[in-house]
Amino acid sequence: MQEPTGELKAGPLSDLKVLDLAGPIGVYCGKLMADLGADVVRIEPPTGDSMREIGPFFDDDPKPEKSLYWWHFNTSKRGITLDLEQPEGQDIFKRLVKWADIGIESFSPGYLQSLGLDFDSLHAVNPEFILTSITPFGQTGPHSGFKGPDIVGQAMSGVMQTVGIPEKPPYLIASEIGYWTAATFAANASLLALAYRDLNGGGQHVDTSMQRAMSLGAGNSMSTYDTLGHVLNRGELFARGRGGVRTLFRCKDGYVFYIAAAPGTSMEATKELLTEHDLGEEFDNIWLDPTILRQEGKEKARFEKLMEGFFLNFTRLELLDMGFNRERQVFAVPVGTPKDIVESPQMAARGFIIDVEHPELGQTIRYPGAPYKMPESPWRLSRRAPLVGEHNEEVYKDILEMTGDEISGLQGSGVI
Amino acid sequence: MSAKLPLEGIRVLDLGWRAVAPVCARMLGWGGAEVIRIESASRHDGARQMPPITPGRDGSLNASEWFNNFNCNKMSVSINLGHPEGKELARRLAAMCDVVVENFSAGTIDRMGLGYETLRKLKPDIIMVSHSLTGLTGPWSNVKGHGPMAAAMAGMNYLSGYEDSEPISPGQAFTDYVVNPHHSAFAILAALHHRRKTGKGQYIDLSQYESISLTTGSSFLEYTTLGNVRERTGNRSSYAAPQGVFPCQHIPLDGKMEDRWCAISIGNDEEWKLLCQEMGRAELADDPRFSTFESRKENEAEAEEIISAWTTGQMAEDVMDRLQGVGVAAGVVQNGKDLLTSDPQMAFSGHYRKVQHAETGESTYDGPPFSLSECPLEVRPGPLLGEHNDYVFQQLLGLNEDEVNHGYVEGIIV
Repeated sequence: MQEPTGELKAGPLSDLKVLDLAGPIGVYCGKLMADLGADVVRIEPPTGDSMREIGPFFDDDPKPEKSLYWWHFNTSKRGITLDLEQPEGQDIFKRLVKWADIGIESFSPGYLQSLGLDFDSLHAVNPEFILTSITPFGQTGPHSGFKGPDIVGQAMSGVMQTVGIPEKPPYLIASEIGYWTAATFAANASLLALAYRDLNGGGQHVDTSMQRAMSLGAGNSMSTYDTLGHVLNRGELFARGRGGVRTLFRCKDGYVFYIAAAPGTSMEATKELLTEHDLGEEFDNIWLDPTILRQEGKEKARFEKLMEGFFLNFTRLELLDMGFNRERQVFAVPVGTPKDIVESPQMAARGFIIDVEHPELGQTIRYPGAPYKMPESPWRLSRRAPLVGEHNEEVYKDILEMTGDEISGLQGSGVI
Repeated sequence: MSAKLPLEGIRVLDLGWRAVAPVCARMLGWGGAEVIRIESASRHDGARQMPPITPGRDGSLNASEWFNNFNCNKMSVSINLGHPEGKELARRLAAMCDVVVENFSAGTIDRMGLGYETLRKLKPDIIMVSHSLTGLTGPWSNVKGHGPMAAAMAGMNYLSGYEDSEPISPGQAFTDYVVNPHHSAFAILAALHHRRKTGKGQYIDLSQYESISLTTGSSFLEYTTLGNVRERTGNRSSYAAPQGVFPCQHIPLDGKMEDRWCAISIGNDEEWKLLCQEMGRAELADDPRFSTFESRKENEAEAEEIISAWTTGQMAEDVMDRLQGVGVAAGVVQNGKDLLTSDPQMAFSGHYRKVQHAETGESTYDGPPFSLSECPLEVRPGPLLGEHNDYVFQQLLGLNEDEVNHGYVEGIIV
């Protein structure tokens, strides 16, 4: 018998039921699960989630159904509305908890308790329920009540201290990477809790902190202080034990990221490439010793000046082609823009970019695809993000077995 | 009977090199899996000499705290994979594992004789992950190199930095430490779940380029729907203003004065009002230049100057505590020393773990950045090179003394 094709195979989490209440700090967690097949039900207040106010917007039209932020982070999820601040809403939520395996939330610590929906209360309803909390600083402790947008997480984690150059202020890594990081670790932790449940039985409370999660991105900052008593600063890392040559260069159509004099790279390769372009005589053989180039000083400056001139003659894709299609490779890659990623021949060949139907617009939209290919249980973007309350009827009818009248009643009282 | 750790009974073979695959395997080790690294003295992981090295141990392959921290909870077996009999030992070991991780450039692991097609014949339900730079297939699959190159290609650099200056790269190999290994660890955990249900393993192909591009948020959709190429916005936000880092009193560090910054982000009109009151500038709350999000966005540079004038000269910690005390988001731009020695929240959380290591003595490692209420996760010291040879060769592979001696004499075990 023939195996079903990849298109028909179920995702690895297709038996999981998830309730997703998370804000921006945790919204990627549910996407990771939903795109691997979990039935993720996104719960919004009846007025719609405030994430829908974040631009940019489709057609530059700032409406809740057109937030590209909402679209990006809520793929493959179903959506319902439910007012958790009304007692009836809380009862309904508990009924959903009975059905679900995992809940994801990112409220300020204590908020769920004020609604009678803290972990202990939910555990009493469903002892197998896993509650994954994602907050800036964790559920308890002296800073647990602190506000923590992405920039505060990046600052407090030690990451920001290492980004940029000493003469300028510290920089963020773009695109709310602190939120992304907190949510991704929470997703890992949730599956560990699930594995624990499969072995031992029983749900648990997963407490994820953005500060702690991001602090892993500060690499050896903590251990450098612990071991050597030295505080790593911006601009220092590439000068200490790493390739010391500047990495960013302008080229004909943008920027190229170049690594030289670092482990795994070959200065001979750079020399060969320059020689092919009649710059061989400009290449000083003293640079074949990479340790010379790792030190600040005249040689590093001379080498960088030569490379500056060289790179300006070529486009990013020419440099990629020249650098890698050779015996000894030169590590020069394009600094990609969002446009480059969408138009990347590599991503096209691998089917990374996918068309997703937006029936409400009567068109398909191109989305970024899978972070990993896992053919036996494929990643799949099964539907675009839900409209406000789009799946109220199917969730409340099919899962909670409510009648049409009950649903109308709840709509009337503003619970859903 | 005491409860089992989440991944108890799962054995992982770590064929990784430097960061991305070893960091992925660390997550599995935190979860209770038995993780075995194959290394050799003849071709050891360069990470064993990455700084910081414990003082006085410069020539040692066991004293890099970079390596030890990223390889906690693992075992190390020294096998020369350049030797045909070494490859055979590795294959026999792989056949006893549930998960294999590697991050060589595309195709290398196949040429080493340890590719998925080979291993699955020995262990049909094995789960294997390759972390190549741009994927195992496609016209650019010959592009190889370091993780930060993939970050540059995938848009992270282009979008980071100030509008009026060049793109920047994260100061550390952020994507090797965070993005890619935790995408792949999530995929492995999902694949293990799938295997529990179906008995089937699989080969996971992670392209660092693709994986990192998923950190650039809605910029992809902004281009496909609006045709806009998103540009750098420094420390600002599209929906909070003002937002940035503000200069505070310099502090003595390593014998000189170091600059010090506090991040502040104003998410709504109320927070702006609270900030103005705390700055003693209540009159600015209703100032038409700043009273709404739109006006603050319009006049963000001016707002930043006003805030900077107030923060300059204050201790960054005081700025944070004062503002958080009234409900305004603020956080010190902390360094490694702050996190380890003075941050009360990090101390409270027990994030950092003290371990005793045979060569480095008492050392501090990262713990998992989350707490599981029912199963505290352990952190144990990174392995000495070949520390677990006896366990692997004798107990797991069942080699007798002669066979082990043969391995040492012939340069198979090094």
